[in-house]
Amino acid sequence: MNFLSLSFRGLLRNRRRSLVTLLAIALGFAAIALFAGYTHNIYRGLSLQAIHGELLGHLTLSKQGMSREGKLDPERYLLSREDVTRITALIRAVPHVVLVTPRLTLSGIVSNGRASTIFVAEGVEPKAAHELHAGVLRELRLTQTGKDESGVQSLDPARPDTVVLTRGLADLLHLKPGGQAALLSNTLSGQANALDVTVGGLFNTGNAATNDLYAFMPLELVRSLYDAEGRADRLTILLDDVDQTEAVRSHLLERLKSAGYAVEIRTWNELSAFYTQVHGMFDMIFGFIFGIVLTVVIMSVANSMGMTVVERTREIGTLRAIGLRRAGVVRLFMGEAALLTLIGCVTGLLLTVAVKYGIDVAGISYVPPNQTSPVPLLVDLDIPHILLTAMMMAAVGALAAWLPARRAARQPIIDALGHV
Amino acid sequence: MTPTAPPLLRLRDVHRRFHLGTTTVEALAGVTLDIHAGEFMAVWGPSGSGKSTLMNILGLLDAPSTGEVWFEGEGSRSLGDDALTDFRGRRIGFVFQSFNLVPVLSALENVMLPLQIGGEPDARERAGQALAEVGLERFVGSRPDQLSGGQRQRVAIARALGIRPRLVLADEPTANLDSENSRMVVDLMREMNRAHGVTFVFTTHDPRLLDHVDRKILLRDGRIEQDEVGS
Repeated sequence: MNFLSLSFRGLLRNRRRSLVTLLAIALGFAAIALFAGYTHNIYRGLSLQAIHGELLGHLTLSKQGMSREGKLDPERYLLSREDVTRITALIRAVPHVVLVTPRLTLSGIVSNGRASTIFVAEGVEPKAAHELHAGVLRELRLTQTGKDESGVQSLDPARPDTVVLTRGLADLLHLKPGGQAALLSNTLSGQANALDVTVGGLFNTGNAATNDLYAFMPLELVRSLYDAEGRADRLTILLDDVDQTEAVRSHLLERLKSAGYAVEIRTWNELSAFYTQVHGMFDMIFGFIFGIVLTVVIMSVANSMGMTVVERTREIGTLRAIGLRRAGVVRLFMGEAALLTLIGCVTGLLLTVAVKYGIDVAGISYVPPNQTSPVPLLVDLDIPHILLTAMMMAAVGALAAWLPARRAARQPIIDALGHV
Repeated sequence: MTPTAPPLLRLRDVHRRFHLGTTTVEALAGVTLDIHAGEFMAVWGPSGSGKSTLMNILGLLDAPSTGEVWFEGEGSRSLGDDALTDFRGRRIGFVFQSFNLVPVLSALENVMLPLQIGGEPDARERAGQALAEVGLERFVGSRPDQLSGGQRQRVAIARALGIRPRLVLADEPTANLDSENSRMVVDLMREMNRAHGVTFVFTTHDPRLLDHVDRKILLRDGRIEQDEVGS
């Protein structure tokens, strides 16, 4: 028999009360763990979408000042052919880098011959686009949660005049895959330039605000339209590990600075405003739920331990009489509360796993705000958050018992022994 | 009694007052008393005479309002709460009227409890010996609710003796027992007193039990009215 065993047996004295408190803790824990798992899945999906779906890669390199002044003076901020070649070689030598590819953004007017509308095109090398997009295909194969509708696969190095349009843009002009369109844009020097293209495929951005605007085009087509042979406004860098993003950025900045290049490098999450906003919003909701659940846990445990302490006042007096110090009494009840909370967390974890698999089996899907297509409702097991939650709840549970335990430990022994 | 050895416990002009609203009750009104090692004594008297208060003071569970208490020459006022608790845990065993056993622990675990609190490495062995001494070796795994009143009090005595105390205090140990069990419990305490030389002090209402003691202290209105040695 040790004090852990004594604490455990203490919980069994009033089983109904312990069970009610345990259920409150378990349900609270499951609520937190499920929400953490849901947000984890959302974050993972959004990061995947940003890095591989939107072809942002992990890092985007451009000339220093490009993000602020690039639109006003594109000539000044475009990377030259030599810059592209040399910087690409430097970056490729850095560990974790698996792809470096030049990009060029272009805006203009797209026409079906009778009607026209504006577009924003991402010029990307078709082969590099396939590599960037491979992450989405891998995830779809792994999770079997849908099919690839990005249209990126329609970019073909063998067909340099083939473009991929958003569905909204194609719908505006009644364009279908295989159809012809004309692109009109300004060259770098301000001259009007036009090219005929073939619609290779359609895709959804997933965002209603951009779904009738964007297009992916072969880089050489964009360069030709822009009259910017060999040039690029940025380099997209793909890594083998998303967790290395910050480290590689720091390393690259240092390396390029010492090579004499003044560049700025932005991470995928800095470029994806949607990801950042969603992350911020869910973090706030998570904090709110976490606060509520912790309050419920504190109140439940404090109430339960308060009653326990009152019921066991005479026992506390006895323990004090036979040599247990005040701190020992506090430890005993705090240990009991921590044990109760931990058992509650383990029960909550089992509940979480059961609900997670129930959701997986049910195959629920929903259309998120500002989205154009349904997404599956998936919940991950976010182990770091689960462990952190369990530790915090055990600590908070023990702290909730501290006040009644301290009160019990400090009462005079003769009063405790005389308690009826 | 004119002892040659210094007393185990020495009380000098001990007063204990309790404040109940605007009223002050003097439970002990100047008690001076020496208790020597190996004594087997009873404190008796009518209800409200201050027996329990005196026992609390003797057991260092309560402090006198005025006056001094020395245990083996050490003044109780010189000890802080933790030191006093440790002191009690090593030297004093308690037997309570309502047994005060921990209901979720077996007889053996109840006896082990003060030993474990005191950090004794051989707590299980010593607890088993103590239970055997009170004749409960067959009930080591029984919980208090599976034992009779007399058996529970014997477990409580084993718990008090397990720490090998210098003093055992028993406040009305037979109050909740029938006459046969009462006599059995007092006989047991007497046996332990003789076998181990442990000092026993108990309170009682039952005059029949006073025949078994070496020394009787009659308490009335918080004062020692009679201190009679020899049964």
